[in-house]
Amino acid sequence: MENQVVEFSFFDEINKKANIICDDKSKLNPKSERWRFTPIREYNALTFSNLQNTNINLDSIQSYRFKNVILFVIMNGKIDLQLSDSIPNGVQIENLNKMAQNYSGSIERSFTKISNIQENYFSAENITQFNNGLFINVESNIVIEKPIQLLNIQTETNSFPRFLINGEENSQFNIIEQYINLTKSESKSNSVVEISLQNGSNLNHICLQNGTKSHWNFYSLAVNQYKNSLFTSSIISLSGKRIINDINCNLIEEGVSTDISGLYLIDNNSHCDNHTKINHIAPFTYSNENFKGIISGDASGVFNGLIKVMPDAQKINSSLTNRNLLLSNDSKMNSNPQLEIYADDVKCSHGSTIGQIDGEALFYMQSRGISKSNATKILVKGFADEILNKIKIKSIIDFIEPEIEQLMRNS
Amino acid sequence: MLNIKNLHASIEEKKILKGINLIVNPGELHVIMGPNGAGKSTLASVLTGKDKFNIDNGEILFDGQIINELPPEERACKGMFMSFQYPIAIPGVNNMYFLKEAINSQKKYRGETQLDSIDFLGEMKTKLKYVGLEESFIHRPVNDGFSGGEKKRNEILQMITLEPKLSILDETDSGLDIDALKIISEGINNFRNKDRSFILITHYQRMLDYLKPDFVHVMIQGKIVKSGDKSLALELENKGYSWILNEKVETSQS
Repeated sequence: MENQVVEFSFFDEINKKANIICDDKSKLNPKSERWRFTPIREYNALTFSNLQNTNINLDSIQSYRFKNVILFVIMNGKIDLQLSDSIPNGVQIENLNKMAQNYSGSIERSFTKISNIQENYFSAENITQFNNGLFINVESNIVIEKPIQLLNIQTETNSFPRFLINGEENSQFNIIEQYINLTKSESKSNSVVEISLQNGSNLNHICLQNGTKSHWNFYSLAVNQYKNSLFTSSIISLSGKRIINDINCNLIEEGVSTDISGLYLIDNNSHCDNHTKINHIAPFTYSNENFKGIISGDASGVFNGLIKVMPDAQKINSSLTNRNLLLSNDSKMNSNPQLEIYADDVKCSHGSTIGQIDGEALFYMQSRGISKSNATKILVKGFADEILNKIKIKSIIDFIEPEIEQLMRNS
Repeated sequence: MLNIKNLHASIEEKKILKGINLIVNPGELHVIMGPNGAGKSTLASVLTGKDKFNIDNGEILFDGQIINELPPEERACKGMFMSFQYPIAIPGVNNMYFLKEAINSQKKYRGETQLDSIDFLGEMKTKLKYVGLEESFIHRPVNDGFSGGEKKRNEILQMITLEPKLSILDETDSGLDIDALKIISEGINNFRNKDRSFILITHYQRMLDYLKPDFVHVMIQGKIVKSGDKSLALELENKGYSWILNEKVETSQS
């Protein structure tokens, strides 16, 4: 009975649809506005053959475990329950196709619809390649204090993790999504996370992206939020050759609150692209978005953030900020915050800055006896702290901070 | 303690200091007054080592050592301090963390034992009272969102915490209300002793009612043109600077 897999024609249909979408490569046109500053042409020329690239010592996996978490290990997109902790009461974690029968309603409503395959090429590509997604359901009124750590380990050249996360009414939980790449050659991952938060549910989400210097990381996060739900998220991009994040939040019903922050650290000749969209559909919804980047070497970055306010979304409050710190003369950043407002009684703000270390602040600190290199470190750390302070888990901060210092050493 | 010999300095080819001579002995308080653009703030910046200024000629001796080429942090560690005319805001950096880092950098340089957080906090509580500030103040980001008065108090708080031998106070009195001026002046007075020296740059003599200066110098067009005692400051307040210029012209003609 255990291995019985309930196949739904539903999945086949979606797969067919996704294949048709991916046959049309116009969405990857390097000349289109989407890819104006991101070298997608390079990607189009690459082929990633499916290879087992590295052997992993299973004991070493535990070294990625954060303190006081419920750990789930996902190897190359597939959950390994033997390496994982036991599933807490009130939570279901299983392969999508095994869950399809019991949760057909919420799966059919959300799967490939939150991260819409018609709009997001990479969400569709993920469907054509993935060999089963993971469905996580937190039952109504269940509060899970310990964070659920979804540790994604990639040892193959290709990886297509997919998650569908459903928070039932008034559930409260924390998720740490982590991506570790252990491949040694050019590799790629295309991860898609779809989240649906029902009335009054509360999810605190952290995504840690750790690629290699020859890793292409495509990451799509899409969230549907219903009445009075609360979504807090921090997207931390620590390394990778090309990092392409596509973030989409739909504030569908009244009282929804969304807080997204991002921190990207890029050096050498890496590139990081964050495309975000906050979609205020209902009135009385609140969003706050703050992305910060530290860029060194001859790295480059793109931030393209859109707040869209639909005609019915009156009395909303929304703010969007993107700040960037360039540590070298050769680093580059393109920042483009945008507002698209169709309602007339709203409060929206947006802004972006691209700057270097403030020479006056450096002198001020030096004049108090702090060395120039230490003062620089304090200023960079201070810049990142606004985002890090939102992460309340110390072992995660301890994981990120050395990466910031490494970046300064390389600048 | 400080000996400035024939100091010439410029910024981007523009000559600003044109031969400054000044000796400050331990325990002395010197006041430098002068019209806008005379080079007073430039002198303070050059003394503390701001690298956008070039020293074209002359020497700065601090405790007998030429410090012309010394980076700002080493001058600070040797006991030099400047209270900024416009203190810099550093968003994201906590005031207490900043001060602790500063004091421990200096202690490390001098080979002294560094303070731990508990000792440091204890010391801060006492020092905060001297400048009339609440404890919550040190947990805010450095000068970020501070009022003009708070910024100046923060400068003096840093001074009395770092305990420099020489404090250069650049217009610490400007932008202060009467009560704040009094509190800050008392803070400075409590800090004065026979070993600590001060250079106070100001436009007004009102702060001198509280701080009894030993010398008052007038700086015009990059030079110290007249020196005297406190009465000179009063005279300047009444008559302005033009008479000194006229006096200079007369002496050079006779």
